[in-house]
Amino acid sequence: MIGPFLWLTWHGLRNRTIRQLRRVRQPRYAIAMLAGLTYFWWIFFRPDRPRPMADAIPGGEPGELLLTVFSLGLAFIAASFWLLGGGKAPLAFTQAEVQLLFPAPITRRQLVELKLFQAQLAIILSTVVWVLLLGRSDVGALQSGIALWILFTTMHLHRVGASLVRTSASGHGVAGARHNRWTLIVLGAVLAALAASAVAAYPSLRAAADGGDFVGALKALLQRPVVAAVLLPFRLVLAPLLTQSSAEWLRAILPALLILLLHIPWVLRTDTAFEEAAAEAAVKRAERLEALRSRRGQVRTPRAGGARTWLPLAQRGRPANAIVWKNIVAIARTVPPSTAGLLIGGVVVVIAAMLLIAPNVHDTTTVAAILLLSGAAIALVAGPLRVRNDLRLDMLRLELLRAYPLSGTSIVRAELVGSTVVLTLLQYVLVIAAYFALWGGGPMELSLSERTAALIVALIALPAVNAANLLVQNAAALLFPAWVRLGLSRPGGVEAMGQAIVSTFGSLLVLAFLLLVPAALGSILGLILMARIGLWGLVPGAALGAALVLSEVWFITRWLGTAFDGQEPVFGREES
Amino acid sequence: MHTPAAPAPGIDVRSLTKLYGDFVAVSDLSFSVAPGEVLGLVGPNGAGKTTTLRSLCGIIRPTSGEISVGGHDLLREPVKAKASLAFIPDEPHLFEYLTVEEHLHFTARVYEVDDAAERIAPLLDELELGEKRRALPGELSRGMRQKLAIACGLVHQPRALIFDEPLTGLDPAGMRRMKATITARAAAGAAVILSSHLLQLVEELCTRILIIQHGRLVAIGALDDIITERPQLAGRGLEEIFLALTGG
Repeated sequence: MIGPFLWLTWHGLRNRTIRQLRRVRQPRYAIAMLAGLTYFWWIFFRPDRPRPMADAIPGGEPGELLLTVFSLGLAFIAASFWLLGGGKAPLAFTQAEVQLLFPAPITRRQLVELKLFQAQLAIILSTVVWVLLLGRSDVGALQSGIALWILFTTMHLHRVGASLVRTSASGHGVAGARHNRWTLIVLGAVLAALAASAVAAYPSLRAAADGGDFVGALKALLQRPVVAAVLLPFRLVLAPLLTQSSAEWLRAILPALLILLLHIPWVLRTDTAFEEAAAEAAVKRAERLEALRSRRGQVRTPRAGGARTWLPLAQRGRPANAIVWKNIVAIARTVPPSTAGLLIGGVVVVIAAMLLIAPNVHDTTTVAAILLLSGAAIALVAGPLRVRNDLRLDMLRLELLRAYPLSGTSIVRAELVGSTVVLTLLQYVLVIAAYFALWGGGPMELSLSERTAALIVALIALPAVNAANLLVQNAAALLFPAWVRLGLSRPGGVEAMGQAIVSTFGSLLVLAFLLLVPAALGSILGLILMARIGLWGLVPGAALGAALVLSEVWFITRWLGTAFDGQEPVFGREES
Repeated sequence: MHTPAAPAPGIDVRSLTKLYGDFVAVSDLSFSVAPGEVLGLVGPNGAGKTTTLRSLCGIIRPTSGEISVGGHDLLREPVKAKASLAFIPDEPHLFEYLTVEEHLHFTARVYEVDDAAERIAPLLDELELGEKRRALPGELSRGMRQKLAIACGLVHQPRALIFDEPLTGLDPAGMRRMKATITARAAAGAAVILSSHLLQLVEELCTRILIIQHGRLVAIGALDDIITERPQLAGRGLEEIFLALTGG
């Protein structure tokens, strides 16, 4: 069966590439292509580019620490696959695949093999990107590439396996869980062992937090046999990437390959279990329905209450505001409740752990404030890529939008406002919470008045920076719809991180260009006034900068509105 | 000096042409639909029907030509023209995260309908969507989704209605009700264009018929007028006339 799949994948890739290259005939795509090539040269090939791993990986204890830290990071990513599902379903089939391949005489296992095969395109691309990004000189590019390929493929397989077990357990209840019992037993044993280790290590961690060697206590925890055993597979997969010589690489590559090979039968067997569980659940469901029919004569409707929203839409007002409302509702309805619940649960667990380990309230609130501000900073940089309730979502419904009695400019602005409001509100919550966490003072020895001034600067600057950042994302979706991934989903998994880094960095460059003049003028005003009235001088500076950024956004959206009016919808495009 | 005639209050199309590169999708097409009239747009696959409809709704820009809807030029006054228009496509385009009722409220707000609440309830009843008012599109059948798209098109009581295969996915009762809805809207003064391959439907509902092929007008008028102009077609039904004119 590999022959037809190879043919399908190759022809799909070839046709897609040809279609995208044909667009270069249009001037805007040609300019974008030139800019893109220049950017790629600048990132990957310019002589003075930073090469973070060009020098040899440190050996001895620093090398060991690096491997432990990376293993821990990888373990957290793997845990997120189990807890959060790893983003977009890794086995998501397109409509065409469902219609053409599912009724075809192909086993489900072969369909899974097709998906695993198709994923290799993204994995190989990411491997190349990472080899270039890391730029190692001590081991060859080929060795580095093989190590990365094993890492990405293993993590992808793990994500698929976790997704299948989750789907089976959630969709088919006890039957699904029974068919994946060995996986769930191993998972349960790992969790129980980790919990026992954490409880055992708690006294030493708490003692260390009270003035002892906290890092030492943490290292001791990681070296406990159970924790070390859990981290071992991650260490083995990472080890070839962190070797110092070709001989070391050769020794490390076989265990890593073994971990990869062990994943293949696990994933394929998990899928068989899924199929059997689905069949079993279908039989039980039919029996249940039959029992209901005989008892009451009708089948209960699955959802009695239906969907409700906490945000009502006023009957009157600017028509474009309806689009803002729609996009805010979209965020509330498209974030899976499990994700929101786990995020909130995660914050509660972190704060509870902090209180347990460092009961000193002052220290705890300082750490909490740092965490909250870090969250706000992450939301500022990565938020615009995640909050996609704007043109990146609605370009798939362009036909509908174009039929509305609204000008292109008002549609573009409304789309931008929706995601800007959501992102800004999230950041406001984080910075205001940090402000109150530092109410009694903080590590920076700023007075309450100065902290209040800093808060107001943040509150003024954040919406403007978000608007500019989201403008870049929306402009890309509007001007280059054929090149931009539309819809809510983004490529997920470790294997897509390389591409995400490259595209994020590109967006930040454009954003920096947009912010350059306003930030410079705002800073000059702020610094002049700071000499007279201290940190409060930054407030007018921030206001000036924000006003200038919003003016830029205003004029650019007017131009984008014209582009929107002239945009030809891409009919029949699926979320890709 | 030649003074162009004032656009008709229904739908008025003058020399509509749409090119995709070198490919001519629609060529020099002219016709008009008066208020109260139902124009059936028919043609073989690839004739340019959907391109014509999408041009009339402002979804795609014509390469040349003039279109007016409700007395407003679609290119010069797109917002006013679109405000009096509704397009119901063959494939319902819905927002997957809005409920049935929210779709109607949203559409009413976009079209600046002041008495949305008063209009939405009877519309939900008319299209048998009342029980599904809090359902998301993903929970609806194909026919229900189609009904919702139609309800969204009717909520602002448009003066011009454009249907592309409106009966797709509907059950027999739904088809019957849909036909009554179309007729009622036309009787209330809306200019209606109905594109369909169901020639019986076209024959039943339409006051005039426009046949296009390869993007060009082949015939236009009431069925009797088309036959009068072509005596060799006398005594034939629309299906035979269609096949004779399009060489099918």
